[in-house]
Amino acid sequence: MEIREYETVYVIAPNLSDEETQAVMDRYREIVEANQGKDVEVEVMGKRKLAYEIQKFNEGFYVILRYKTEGGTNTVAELERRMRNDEKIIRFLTVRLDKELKKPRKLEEKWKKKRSKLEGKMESEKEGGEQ
Amino acid sequence: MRESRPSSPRRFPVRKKYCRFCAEKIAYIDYKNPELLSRFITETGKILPRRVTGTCHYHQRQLTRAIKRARILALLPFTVR
Repeated sequence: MEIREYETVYVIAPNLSDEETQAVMDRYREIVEANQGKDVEVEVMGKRKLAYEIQKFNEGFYVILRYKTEGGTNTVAELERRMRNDEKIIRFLTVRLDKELKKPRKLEEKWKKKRSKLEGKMESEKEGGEQ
Repeated sequence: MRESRPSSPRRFPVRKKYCRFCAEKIAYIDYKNPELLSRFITETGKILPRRVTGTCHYHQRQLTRAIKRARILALLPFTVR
């Protein structure tokens, strides 16, 4: 099965201590790893104001979880199930990154090629002018 | 009522619009960047149409999706009354 890349952003309730917040982050990292998630990366966005109230909270602690998993595994399902049942998590969203970035990556490749071609052209023109 | 578009000569020249994402070579619009996305919504939280911002079709679709995701994560408001 092919490897899939995912990104889950989740928001932790702001009324937890630093240690508790850290514990939550560690736990979800372990959950992903325990469910065939590979190359797990955790990025902390930190405490932010919410654009609207969620469960009476006005701010939240944002964390990004990136991981890879094979098709046919229950990594995402299990992770989301745990988050749904966790009252410390006030919001989460999972995005399939590899599908999402396919086109943009191609486009970037195209731009890069174009730029190097353009630079090459400029170089040769310069050389031609000097002769 | 909305102002109709004058087909006759305009009183002032309209600035040529261009896609900001193409100009800045942004291939992927990240939904985790509310500072960028908020430039493309109105004060009431609505997504600005392409005819206003000049965003190209490809990027407008990405932008729409990014804004909708940002709303789910409470990075952007659904509405501001």
